[in-house]
Amino acid sequence: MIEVEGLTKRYGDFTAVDRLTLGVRRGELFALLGPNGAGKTTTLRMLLGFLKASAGSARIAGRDCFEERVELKRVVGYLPDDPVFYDYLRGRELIEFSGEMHGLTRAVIAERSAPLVRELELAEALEDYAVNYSRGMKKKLSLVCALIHEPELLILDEPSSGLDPIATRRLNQLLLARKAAGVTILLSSHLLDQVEKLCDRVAIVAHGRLAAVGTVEELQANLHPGGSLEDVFFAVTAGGAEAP
Amino acid sequence: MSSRPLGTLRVTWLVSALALRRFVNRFSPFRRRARGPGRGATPKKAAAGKALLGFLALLFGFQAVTLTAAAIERAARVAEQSTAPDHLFVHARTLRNLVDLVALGACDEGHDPSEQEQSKLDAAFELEGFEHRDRDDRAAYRHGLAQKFRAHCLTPFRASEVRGPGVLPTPSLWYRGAGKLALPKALGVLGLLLTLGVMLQTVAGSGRDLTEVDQRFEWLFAFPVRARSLFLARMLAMALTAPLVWVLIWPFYGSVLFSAGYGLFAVPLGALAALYVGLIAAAVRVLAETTLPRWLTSPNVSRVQAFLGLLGTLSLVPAFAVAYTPGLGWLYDRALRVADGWLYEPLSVPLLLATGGAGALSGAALLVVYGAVFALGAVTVAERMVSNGIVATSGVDPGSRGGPQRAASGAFGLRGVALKELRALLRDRQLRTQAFLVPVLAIGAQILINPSLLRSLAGGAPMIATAAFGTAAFSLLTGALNGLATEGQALWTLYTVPVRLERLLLAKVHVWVGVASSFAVLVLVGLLIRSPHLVPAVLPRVPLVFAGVYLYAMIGLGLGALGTDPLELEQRRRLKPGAAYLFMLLLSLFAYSIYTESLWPKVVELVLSSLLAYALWQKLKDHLPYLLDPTEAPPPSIAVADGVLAALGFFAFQGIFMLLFSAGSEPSFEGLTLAFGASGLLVALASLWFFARSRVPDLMATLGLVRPLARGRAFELRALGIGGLAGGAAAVFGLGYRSLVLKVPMLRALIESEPEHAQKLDTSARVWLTLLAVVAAPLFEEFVFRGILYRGFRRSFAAPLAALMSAVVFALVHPAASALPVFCMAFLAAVVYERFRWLFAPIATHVTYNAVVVVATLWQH
Repeated sequence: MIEVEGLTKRYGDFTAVDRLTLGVRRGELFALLGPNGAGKTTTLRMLLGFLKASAGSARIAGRDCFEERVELKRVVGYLPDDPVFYDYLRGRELIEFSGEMHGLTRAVIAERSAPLVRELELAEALEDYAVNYSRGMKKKLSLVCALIHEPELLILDEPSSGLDPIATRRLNQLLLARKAAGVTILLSSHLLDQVEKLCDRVAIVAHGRLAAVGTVEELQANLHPGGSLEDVFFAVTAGGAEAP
Repeated sequence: MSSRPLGTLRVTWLVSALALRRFVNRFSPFRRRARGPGRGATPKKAAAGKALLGFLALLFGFQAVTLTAAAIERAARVAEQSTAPDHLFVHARTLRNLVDLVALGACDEGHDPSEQEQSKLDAAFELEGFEHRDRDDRAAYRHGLAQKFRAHCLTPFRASEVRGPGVLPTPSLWYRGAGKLALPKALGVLGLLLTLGVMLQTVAGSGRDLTEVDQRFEWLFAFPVRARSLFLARMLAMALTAPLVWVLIWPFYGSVLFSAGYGLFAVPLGALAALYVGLIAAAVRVLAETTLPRWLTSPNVSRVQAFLGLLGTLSLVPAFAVAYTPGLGWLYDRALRVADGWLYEPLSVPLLLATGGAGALSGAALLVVYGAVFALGAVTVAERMVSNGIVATSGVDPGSRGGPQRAASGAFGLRGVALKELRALLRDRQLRTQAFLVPVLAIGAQILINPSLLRSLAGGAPMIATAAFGTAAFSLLTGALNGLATEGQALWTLYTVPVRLERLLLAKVHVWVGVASSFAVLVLVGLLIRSPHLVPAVLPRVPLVFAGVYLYAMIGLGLGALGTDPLELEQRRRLKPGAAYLFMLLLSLFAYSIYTESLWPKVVELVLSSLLAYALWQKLKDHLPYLLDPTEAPPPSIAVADGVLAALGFFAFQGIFMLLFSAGSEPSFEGLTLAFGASGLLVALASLWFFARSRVPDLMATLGLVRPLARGRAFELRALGIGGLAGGAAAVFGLGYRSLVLKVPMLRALIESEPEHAQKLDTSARVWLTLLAVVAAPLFEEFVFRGILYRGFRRSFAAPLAALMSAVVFALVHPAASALPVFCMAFLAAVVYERFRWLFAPIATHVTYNAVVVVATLWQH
C-alpha cells in the first residue's frame, strides 16, 4: 500500500527525514515510533503531499504522493496531531463540509457519521463551534471527518494524544474494526503500550533515520532479547534523544 | 528560595523587554543562525515586505505631519480672526494687489467694472479661499470678497500674520497674537479626536476578542509574580508597540511642538506625549479586558467590542474632516472660547507643553501625575478583578446553537467551500463588519468630509458607474484579497480532500463576486433613483462594471493568495501589505477605464485585466501545492506573468531612456530608436539573468534562442524563408486594410495623425525610423511577446489559443488604427514560432512585415 524509498526532507541545513525506506502492506496496522522531533510528522506530511520530498520517493497504491496528491485523497483519511478548525463553524457543519468535499450527499453523510458520533460521544457538542472544543474533542471530530469517505488508508498522527483513557480504548477498538474491514492504517506514536497492543509491525525512527523495523516480537528478539518494547526503544534511540 | 515575589520594576522590565524583543525579531531583516549543528529554525521562503512596511509607516507618519500642519494653519487663522472679528484677514500679497487696484480706482460700487477690471479684481483674490475645495464654492467666496472690496474699499481687510499654506509645520504658522493658550485650545479638537481614535483602536481594534484571555498572558500568570506587576508591564509593552501611537500621535505632537518653537527638541518631547497617550490607551484596554467579561455575558462583550471597533475604524475620519473640510472653522472658534481649564483634562494635557514657559512645566508635571494615576488605577482595578482567577471563556463567541432541523438544508443550496465561506461571512463579527459595514461607512464618511460628493456622484453616468464599481471594489479589498489568509491554520483541511485547491479558491471567488455585485447593484439603484433620466446613459457601462467585479475578485484572490504567507501564525500578518496596495492601484486603474468616455482604453483595460487575472492564476496554480511546505518552491518555468512583467518593463524603460537621451532637447526619432533599443536590450538581458538565476531548465532552447538540436543549415533557411513569407502575407493584408481604412473618413484621421505618415520627415529621421522598425522592433518585441509571453500561454493552452492570446496583447499595445493588421502579423509569427521552435523564424516574419509597411509608407516617394 505504501512504498517509501530513500525519502529525505531537508529544511535548509537541517535534515528532518534522512533516507527513510519502508513499506506498509495492504490491510496492515503499522506504527511509526520515535521520540519527539524524530521526523514522524514530517514523514506523514510528505505521504499526504503537504510537503514535497527533497529526495527519494513516497508512493501510495503505486501513485506518487506529491504529484498525485489530489487523486490520492479519495482513498486516504488523515488525522492531524493537533487539528485546527475554521472559526465560526459548528462540529456538524465541519463533518458535512468534509463529506461534501468528497462528493457525498447530506443523507450519506448523516448515515455514516451517526454511528461514529455515537461511538465517540460527540453528539452533545455537534452544535457548538468547533474551535471552542477541547483538544480531545477536536481530535474526535477530526477522526469523524477523516473516516467519512471510508478511506482505504488511514494516516493518523499521534491519534490518542489528548484523549482520555475511555476515548483511547474506543479509538483502539475502532481502529481494530477498520483493520478487520481491510483498511490499512499507518499511525505515528510515542506511546509504547498502544503500539504493542495494536500494531502488526513497527518502524522505530530517530533523528530522521530508520532505526529498526519489524513486528514487536522480532524487534524484541533481535535487538533486546528478553526485554520489553520499551527496552528496544531505548536501545535503538539512545544517544541524545529525549525519552517520551 | 526567596520568599518574596519579583519586584514590579523587574517584572515590568522583563515583560516589556520580551515584547520588544518579539517586535524586533518580527521586523528584523537579519535572522539569527544557530551555531554548531543542532536544529535551527526552518528558513522561510521569502522575507520581503519589511522594507515596504517601514516605508508605509513613514508615509503614514508624513501624512499625520501634513494633517497637523493644515490644522495648525486653520487654528491660527481662526485665532487671528478672533482678535478682530469685524475684519477680514487676507494674505499679505492679496492686500498688496488690493492697494494696486485702489490706485486704479477699482473700489467704487457706483460704476460697473469693465471686463478687464473685473478679471483683475478676480485675480487679486487668487490666494484666498483655498479651504473651499469645490471650485464653484471657491469662486463664490472670492466673489463675495470682491463685492466687499468694491463696497468698502480697503477698510475691512487686514494682512494676515499667518504664513500659509500649512503643508509642513513651521514656527511661522504659530500665531501668538491671541494669547498663549489660544492655539493649544483650538488644536484640542484634533488632539482629542486623534487620541480617542487611538484609544478605541487599542481597546477594540486589535484582532483578539476581549473575552479571550491572551495565551501569552496566561502563561505569565504561571510565574511567581504579582498580578499588578504583570498588568503594569503589559500596559507599558502595549504602549511601546502600538503602531498608531507612533505613526499618528507622535507626528501630531511633534509637529505641534515644533511649530510652537521647540526646534528639534520637539521630537523627543512629542515622543513623550505619544508614550503618555499610549499608556492611557493601554490602561483603558486593560480595564476593558478585565471588567467587561465580569459584567456582561460573552456575546454582549463581543457586541460592545464590535461597536467600539467600528467607532475605531471610523475614528480617524472626523480628524481628517477637522483638518481639511471647509466650513468647520466654527469648531476651532468654539474651542477657542472654552475655559482654559479644559486644557488640563487628561486627554488634552500634552497640548499644554505647546504654551511654553510655566504652562509647559505644569503640563509636563501633569503628564507624569495623570500617567501614574491612570496606570496605577487600572492596575489596581484589574488586580481586584482577577483576584478570583482570570476569566477564560476562550475562543470565539459561541453564538446561538443551531438546531438540528436546520442541518438538513444548506443556505441557498450552496455546498462545500462556498457554503463554508458564506457561513464565516455571516457569523464572524470581524469579517462581517469589514465586508458589509466598512464599505457603506467609508463612503458615508467621504460624503461627510466632502458634502458636494453626493451631488457629483449622482451627477453623471460615468460617476454613477464608477461609484458602483468603487463600492464593490471596497468589499473585494477586504474579502477576496484575504481569501487565502482567512483559511489560516485550518488550511490543511483543504489538502485532505480530493479536489484541486484552485477549484476551491474559485468557489470562494464566486462568493465574493456575489457580495461585491450586490453592493454594485445597491449603489446603481440608489443613485439612479435620484436621477432616473441617466438610466440610458448608465446602462452601457453596467456590463463593464460587473465584468470588472468578476475579474477583480479573481485578481484580488490571486494577488492576495500569492502575497499570503499561510505559515505565519498571526492572521493579520499573513497578508503582505504590498499586495493590498498593488490591488488598490489596479482597482483604481480599472475604475478610471469605467469613468472615461472613450472606448479604446476600456477595451485595453478589460483585456489587460483578463490577462492579469489569468497570469496570476497560472502562477497561483504553480504555487498552491507548496503552500504547506516552508522550503520547497515550484519548479522554475516561464509564465505569463513573466511575459506581462517583461512587456511592462519594456515600455517603462523606453520612457525613461527617452527622457535620458533627449534631455533638454526635442524628442527625436534618433532618440526614440536608441531608447527602444536600449530598453529592449536591458529587458532581454534582465529576463535572461532572471530565468537563469531561477534555473529554468534548457533556457536557451526553451526561449528558442538556439536552433533545435540535430537541425542543420537547411532548417535555418527553411525557417527564415517560411517566416519571411508569413510576414509578407501579413504585410499584404496590412496594406490592403490601410487603403480601405483611408477611404473611411472617421478612421482616416487616426492614420493621418501617425508620425510615420508625416511625409515631411527628413532623411535622417526616416533612416532612424527604418532602423527601429526593421531591426530593433522585431528583435526585442519577438523576444518579449513570442519568446516569453507566448511560451507562458503555451504552458496552459493549445497552440492556436496561445497564439491568439499573445497576438491580442501584442495588438493592444499598438495604436488602434493598426491593431488589426498587427494582430494578424503577431498571430502568424506565433504560428511560425510554434512550428520551428526557433525565435529567428518569427523575427523574420516581423522584419518582413515592418520592412514592407515602412517602404510603402515612408519611402514611397
